[in-house]
Amino acid sequence: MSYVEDLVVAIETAGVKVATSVPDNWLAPVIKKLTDSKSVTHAPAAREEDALGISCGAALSGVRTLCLMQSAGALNTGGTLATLGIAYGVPLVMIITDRGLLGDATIAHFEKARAFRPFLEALGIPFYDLAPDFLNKDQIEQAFLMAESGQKPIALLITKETLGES
Amino acid sequence: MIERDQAYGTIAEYLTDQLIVTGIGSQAASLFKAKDRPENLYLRGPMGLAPAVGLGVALAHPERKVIAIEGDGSLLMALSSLAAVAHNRPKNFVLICMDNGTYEAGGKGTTINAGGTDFVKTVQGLGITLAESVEDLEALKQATKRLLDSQECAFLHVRIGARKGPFSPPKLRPYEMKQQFLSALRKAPSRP
Repeated sequence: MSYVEDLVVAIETAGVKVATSVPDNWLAPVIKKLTDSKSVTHAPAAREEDALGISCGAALSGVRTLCLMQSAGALNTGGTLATLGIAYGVPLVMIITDRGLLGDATIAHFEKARAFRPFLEALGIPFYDLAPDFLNKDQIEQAFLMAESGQKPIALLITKETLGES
Repeated sequence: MIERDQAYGTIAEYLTDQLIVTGIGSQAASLFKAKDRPENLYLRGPMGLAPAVGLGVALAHPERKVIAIEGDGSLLMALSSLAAVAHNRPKNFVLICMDNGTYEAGGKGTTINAGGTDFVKTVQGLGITLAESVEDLEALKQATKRLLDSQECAFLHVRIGARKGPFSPPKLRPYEMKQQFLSALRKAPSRP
């Protein structure tokens, strides 16, 4: 299977009830499949803060939820992560495409790629790269277990390695 | 024009087991004063996200009626969240905008375009068709009852006056509010 199918299988297997998203090129096919999921309610948003807010609401009411976005959008969410995600101890998983790394360099991605991981570090958000065989490694479920045990948001990063393109 | 405390007191009269998410500052303090209860989730931040957080609660729990209460300044800060509400339109969700044209917790300055934004037309333009505005207490009573009983995503705009008296926010820390809200959710609703 492709990473798209694997990701949707992993999300459904983890028991995610609500997923929110703002698309980019890498996430669009995942989002399309999630929209058709029978077990996941997918709520698209126009901005990443809104997507994160919806996910926080779902997580604060006791269901598994994840939020899909690109690194550029994640950089918009600093206030939401600090004053809601971290302050309230929200156990949610963010799946973020980390664009602009080696092999994915464009003018549009370059600066945000430099800022993105230090941004997560500054907020104290644990983050991990999704391996190409993330399904076999059970990384989505493990991320939820970590978020729930630490009562904190966790970020899983999609890179070109995840896509099997490097 | 309705006094702020009267507006919250009126809405509180119609509360049973609804889950409520309030915006920061005045909204949290006003509901806390009118009717503090475990089913209230008071936001401390960020400004403007009560509709999004409330939408998440509503999608996670379609069996429960969910209310989000936000101020006009906050709603203007996050107008894009209305698009998310309109796109999903959960039948169990009511969004209330308390509009006094003032950033109550932000130096009491006038909100941008105060009095010039037609919130009802704005949300209707996005696709939330059940939307109304009230400016007196009797209309608020009728609208609250009608919208809380409705089986449709709804919006209520309430024109209120400026806050009087001191500001007294909820005492619990955010982590404690989360635990309290989750405990309330785990209890069975008091009505079907």
